[in-house]
Amino acid sequence: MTFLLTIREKIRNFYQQFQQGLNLIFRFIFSLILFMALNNMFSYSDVFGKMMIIIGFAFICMWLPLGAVFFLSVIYTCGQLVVTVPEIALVYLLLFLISYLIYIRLEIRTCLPLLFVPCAFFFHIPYVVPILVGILIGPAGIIPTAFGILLYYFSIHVNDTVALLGSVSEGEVEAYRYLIVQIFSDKQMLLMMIVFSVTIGVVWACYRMSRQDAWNQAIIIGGIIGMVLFLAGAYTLDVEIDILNMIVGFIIAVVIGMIVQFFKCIVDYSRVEYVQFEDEEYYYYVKAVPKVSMAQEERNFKRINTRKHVKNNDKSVEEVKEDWRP
Amino acid sequence: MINEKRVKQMSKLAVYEQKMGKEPFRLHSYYRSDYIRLQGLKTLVAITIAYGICLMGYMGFRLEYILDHLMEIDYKKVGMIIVVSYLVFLLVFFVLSRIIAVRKYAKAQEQLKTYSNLLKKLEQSYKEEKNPFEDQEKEGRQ
Repeated sequence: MTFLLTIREKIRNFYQQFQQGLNLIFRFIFSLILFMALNNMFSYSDVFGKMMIIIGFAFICMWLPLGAVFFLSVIYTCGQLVVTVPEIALVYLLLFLISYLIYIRLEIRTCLPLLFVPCAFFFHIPYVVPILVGILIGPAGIIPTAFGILLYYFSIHVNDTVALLGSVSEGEVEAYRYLIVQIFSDKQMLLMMIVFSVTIGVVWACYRMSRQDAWNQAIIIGGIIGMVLFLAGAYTLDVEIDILNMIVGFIIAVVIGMIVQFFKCIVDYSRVEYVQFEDEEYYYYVKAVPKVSMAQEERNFKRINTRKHVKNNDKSVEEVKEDWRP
Repeated sequence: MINEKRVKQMSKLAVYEQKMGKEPFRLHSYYRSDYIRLQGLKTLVAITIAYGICLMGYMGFRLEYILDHLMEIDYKKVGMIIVVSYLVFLLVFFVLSRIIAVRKYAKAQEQLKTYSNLLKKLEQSYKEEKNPFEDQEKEGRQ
């Protein structure tokens, strides 16, 4: 454990040193993964599918706030869809508009789970979503997570709809109807929404408890609750799920949750602030560096008071009396 | 000459201001009740548009059925269902937006209070510098 703490301190110091550059790099990586995931979900356009375009979008997003990334992701996906099926692009746009109007506009940072869900599905680790949202955002992330899941299943059913349009000479209204029916009759999507919502609530509630090691317990409890709910829900709703995959997924999610929790304090506290202000006489350009304990690379413990004689507590009453006799 | 103590105070103030952003100042320009009402009004407009989109989507989905049974539909019943579901939808998100608005306002007030305390300390240091013997003068007069 000491070794891990030392590593964390080192990472914290490193992060503090290159905070601005690292933040940009992290944003770029997140945006790149997001657009690659969206391209994987809706790969209908040759232009938008090019790696250079994806990198370009990620590069723009690197400099923009979260809300702008949310809108750019919508533009990118609509650009993918509008080439093949403009009606479905319109449906997608309306879905996002609804999600924005009813919830995300209240607190723009809540769009983060919505953007994170496609990334998690891209890496085949969707079960990490409720645990991370539970510890990082809380119940405010339930509705955006549900929208994220809806978005993922929407992409699956769009694939089927496009295949139907290609094979059968159905009208576009029929395709739209087929898509809506498919989405709203998808029990697997419903199950995932319910289980993720409950798990987020449980993780958040346990995480806030004033108990020793409540953070790690919350993650483990969240993993177990998620697994149990998935099994119960699959049985009740008669949904086919890959049980082994689900269990392994939740174990991986718990491990990732613990890693994130372990390194969370680095982002929470290590903030180097650059501020500018002035008074009547001077302009001040200040770099405020928070005080943190430095990592100690080598710690040598040397016992200097070795135990030579037996303590009084270990002796019997008679022996002590003997010692004190003149 | 640079007053080191004051530079520290100003730096703390600037860092705090940077961290909290402009939002608390914006919220402070409203009375609490006005801000909550304004958020409620925005929710009303947003939910009405969202509900309208959902309704249009549903009608588009059931267009064929609607056209076939245009004369047989019980419009009174359908109207009631639309209005009641709209009101329920509105109520849920109205309550949610109210909770969020109340919390946001309370947080902004708390942040501004801390900011104001830091500002008072800075002001105090200016007063002390302008008249360092103020306390002694007061005592002398007495």
